[in-house]
Amino acid sequence: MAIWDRLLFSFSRRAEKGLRQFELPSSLETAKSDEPVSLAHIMEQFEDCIDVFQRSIPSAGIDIVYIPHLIDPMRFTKEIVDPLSKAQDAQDVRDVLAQSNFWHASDSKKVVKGILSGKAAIFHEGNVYLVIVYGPKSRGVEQSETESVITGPHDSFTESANTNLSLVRRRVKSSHLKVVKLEVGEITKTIVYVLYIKDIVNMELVDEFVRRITNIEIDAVYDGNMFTQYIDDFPNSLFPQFLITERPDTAVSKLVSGRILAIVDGSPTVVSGPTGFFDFFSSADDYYQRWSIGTATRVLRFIAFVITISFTAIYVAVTTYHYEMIPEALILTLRESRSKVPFPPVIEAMLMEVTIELLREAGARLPTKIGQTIGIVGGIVIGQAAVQAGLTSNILIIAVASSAISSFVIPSYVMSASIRLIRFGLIVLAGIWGNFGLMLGIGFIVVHLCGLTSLGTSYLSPFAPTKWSDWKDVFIRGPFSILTSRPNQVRTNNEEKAKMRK
Amino acid sequence: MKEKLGGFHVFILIHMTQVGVGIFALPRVAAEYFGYNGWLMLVVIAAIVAFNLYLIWLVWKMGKGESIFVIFENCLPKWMVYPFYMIIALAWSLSGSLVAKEYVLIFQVTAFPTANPMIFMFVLSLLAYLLIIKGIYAIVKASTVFIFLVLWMAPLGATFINDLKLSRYTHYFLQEGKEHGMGLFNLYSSFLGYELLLLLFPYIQAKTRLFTSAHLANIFSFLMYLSVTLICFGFYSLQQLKLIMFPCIDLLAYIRFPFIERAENGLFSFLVFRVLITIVMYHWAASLTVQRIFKNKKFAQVTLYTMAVTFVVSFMPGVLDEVGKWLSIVTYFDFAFAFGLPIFLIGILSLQRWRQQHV
Repeated sequence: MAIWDRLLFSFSRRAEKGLRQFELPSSLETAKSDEPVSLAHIMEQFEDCIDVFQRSIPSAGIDIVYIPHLIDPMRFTKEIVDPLSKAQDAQDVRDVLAQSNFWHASDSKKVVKGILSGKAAIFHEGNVYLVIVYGPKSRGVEQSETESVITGPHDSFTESANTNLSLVRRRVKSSHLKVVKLEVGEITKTIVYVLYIKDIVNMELVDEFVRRITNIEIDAVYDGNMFTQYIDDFPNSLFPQFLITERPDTAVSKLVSGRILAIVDGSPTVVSGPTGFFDFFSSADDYYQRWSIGTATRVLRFIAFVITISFTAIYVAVTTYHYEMIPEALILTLRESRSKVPFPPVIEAMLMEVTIELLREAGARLPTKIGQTIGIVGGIVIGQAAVQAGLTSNILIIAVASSAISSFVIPSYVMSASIRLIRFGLIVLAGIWGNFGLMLGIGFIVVHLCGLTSLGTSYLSPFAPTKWSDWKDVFIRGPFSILTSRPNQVRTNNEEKAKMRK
Repeated sequence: MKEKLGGFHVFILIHMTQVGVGIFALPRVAAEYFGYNGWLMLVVIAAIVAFNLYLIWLVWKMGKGESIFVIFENCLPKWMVYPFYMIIALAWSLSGSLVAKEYVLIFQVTAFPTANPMIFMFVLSLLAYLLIIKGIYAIVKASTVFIFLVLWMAPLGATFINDLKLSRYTHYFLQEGKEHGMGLFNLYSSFLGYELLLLLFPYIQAKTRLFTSAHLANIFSFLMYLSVTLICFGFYSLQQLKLIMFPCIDLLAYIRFPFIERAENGLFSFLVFRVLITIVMYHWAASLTVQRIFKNKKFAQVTLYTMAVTFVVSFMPGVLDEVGKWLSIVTYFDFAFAFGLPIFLIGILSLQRWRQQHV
């Protein structure tokens, strides 16, 4: 820990001077060990690892150690085997090994780590050289399933961090895009790339982001969603404090607006921060449609949010305490429908909400074909049988269904899940104290949201604190002619867009 | 990064603190004490508040944005300052608790006659506590959200336009009133809350136009009160208005939508957000004052104890009338502090300045 602390300190000192070199993890690799760097010792380290191969080329007097499924065989043959096999004498071998892609290693830890990360270790005359031949098979770039759009690009991130990096680099052809390599997970040693655009991003936020990542103490990281929970400002909150996306275009838009990205190796999602509550309501589609249509869709999502959190709770409040609010024409229908139900409205509503959640969860876990069956069966059970059996009123079915459908309108699955959970609390409060309970519940949510921050910036930005200039890209999707400034939340000094043309 | 309050924040905070439970009974108070066209007295009250705000602004300018506690402690010994702090804190904290109690009692009367009001009050106080301990910047953020949650109700006044009778705004001015002094005080109590601006000095950006923001907030509150009172004076006859305890709530009962038969209950619930900020700001001010005495204690701890004490005290008045009486007693103190504190501080600062010039 002392080394980490010292390095962190030196990092922040450099940051103050404007000399920014993110060398934290690689610096750790330079820690010397007294262990000998011999073939026997390295093979001893990999004892019982049948996937570690040792190959000898006797004519050149070398041994190569590598993990076959982590390397690109073509590259391995072309860069190592061919030149070394063709070497006539020891001098030829030394000449080959003197090339810049052969990196001399003097530390056994570094050699072991190199082999594990897709390098080949070449042993020659007591020396060890490492060559990057990384190239395992990975899933191809496919369409995003959770963030699908109708218009716009259809490619999405994959599990390979290098592919993800390339997807970003392909879109940002600028040397201002900086990439920092960090490592997380004591056992998995997962690579995390931190991306930001110099001269747009606020470097204090980058400092904070890097600091949080380097402070993560965990055995393993499997996914971006898991990763964010370690860098969240408030890990116990229900609300996500970093935006997670599968879409390269969304990720790039975040970068350009002055935010920071984290690409976690092995995860098809990219983490972006700082983020605000309202960012979870915008979709890439908004920008690919005409602004008026984008605005209408965005407004629809906010209406959906209100419906999701309040519809069932309002039903419970009104049918439990405030019958006077129901219009005369509707009260007869409602009374007739409710007369068969033996439970109080709050129990009735909870029963239905839980059933809807069960259906949703079952639908998400089962294969597509069976999932459809679940939908049909669930629809019949809830839509007809439950009403006929007197378990629920049909007006509640409408409320619960509208509420459930609305929750899926919210583009971010993580936020949608949080909101669905909050709804249960509001239903209970409405069941206890009617409208007053509902308002108290909303009050609790607002108070909680007001205390939240993302990378130290206000989570409710630009609503509270109010930055009117940002409203044109939050509550509506203004025409591109007026979307000329970067969000206030990122605290950038480069507020005007299109200012990087150099 | 330490946040500071800007002009818009000050505007929202003051407006939200000013408008609380007072608005429910305000038209009745105007009618009862000032008779016909009693709403005119609101202009006088707003002008007095504006003068008081000017005094507060003078303190800010003379003290160069210094905390009032620092000004006090620099000039007076602790044995004098601390008991004074205790009295102020008690008055402010009691104001917060009694406002909460009045709101829950009104709510109980209108919607939950059989429920125990202290349970409501406990939940309301808990909500207030959770907000207070997050600090003034979170309070401002919450106020901003809450103001948008309640402001949409303002245009609802337009639904009464056809029901207003011009003849009710007679050419009689302030006739059939009584005890004008007491009436003035009662109306004034609805405007209180702006005096907490004194405690915001250390949190305000140097370039903030404090005076303008505070005045705009006062004008906005005045306009809100004026619109409500004008509607009530045009909608009800003077005699009716004197009899109805909370004309504003009764007014809500006349609002009907095609999809909601009687919306007053729902609309009244929304007003909890207005009341909440009033409660929060008074408790926050009290806790801040108490913390000057117990500097080693954490703010959350101080707030908890202060709120707990006044919560227990608020058990004593059991019915609305009693709460009203208690609240008017506490309001005397608030009124005295609103004027007394700035005058006293101006005196201290002038003395300091005079000393510096003659040393």
